[in-house]
Amino acid sequence: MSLNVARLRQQADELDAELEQARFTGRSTDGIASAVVTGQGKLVDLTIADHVIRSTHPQRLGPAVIEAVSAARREAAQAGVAKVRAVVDKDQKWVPEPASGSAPGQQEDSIPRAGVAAEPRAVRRDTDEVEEESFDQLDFLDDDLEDEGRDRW
Amino acid sequence: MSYENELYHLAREIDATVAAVEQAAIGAARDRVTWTLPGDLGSVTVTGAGELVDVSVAVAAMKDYSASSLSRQLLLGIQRAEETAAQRYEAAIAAVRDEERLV
Repeated sequence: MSLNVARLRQQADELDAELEQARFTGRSTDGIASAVVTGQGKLVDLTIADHVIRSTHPQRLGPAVIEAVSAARREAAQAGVAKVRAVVDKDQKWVPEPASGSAPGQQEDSIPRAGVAAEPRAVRRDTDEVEEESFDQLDFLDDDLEDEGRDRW
Repeated sequence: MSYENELYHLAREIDATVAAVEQAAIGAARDRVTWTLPGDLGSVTVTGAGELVDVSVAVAAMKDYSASSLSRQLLLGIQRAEETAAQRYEAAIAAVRDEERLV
């Protein structure tokens, strides 16, 4: 099997451009902060809820911002890893996102919700997954031991 | 020096250089950059690896801002801190690279 370096490099460049355009949103659990990052993890937007400024617990703001940024980056990383794997893994095929009518910097759902991982849409397996039971999981001795009414060694 | 010996020493040299760069990268990733927000608003801290680890906002100063302007200040602060951290990281790696005369 030969490695097509030029092709691999081209795919990496295309993937890089795609990740730069992708957007992922993360929110803090209390809803105070919301962050948007690119597929490369670069922070491009940050929104703080109006009520936090005059709330009784403004000190919650800092941790909320960190949580929102981390959540957004986690989403981006999950999607990015899957796409990178598709480029380098020869069992998978990767094709660039089709150029849609949407404005640059926006995905179909321009602001994906946190907790909903962006599906690596272009990733697909060529081979059918075959569910097999591993022999490691089988215990051939159990029945015999119960029948004989004795423990293992 | 025989060809094999030359190859052996070259391999040793490459190993040492890679180890030096790895150590520099580990150290640079741990370094932290703190960016002070304007107007005594607070500060943000990121690691050399680009991880946002602290956002401190002065509660008293916060009252002077609207939510949108506070968001903007924090966004800019985080971006600046991350840019600075990335530059320092690159510089730390470059210093080792230059010292080891790597291309």
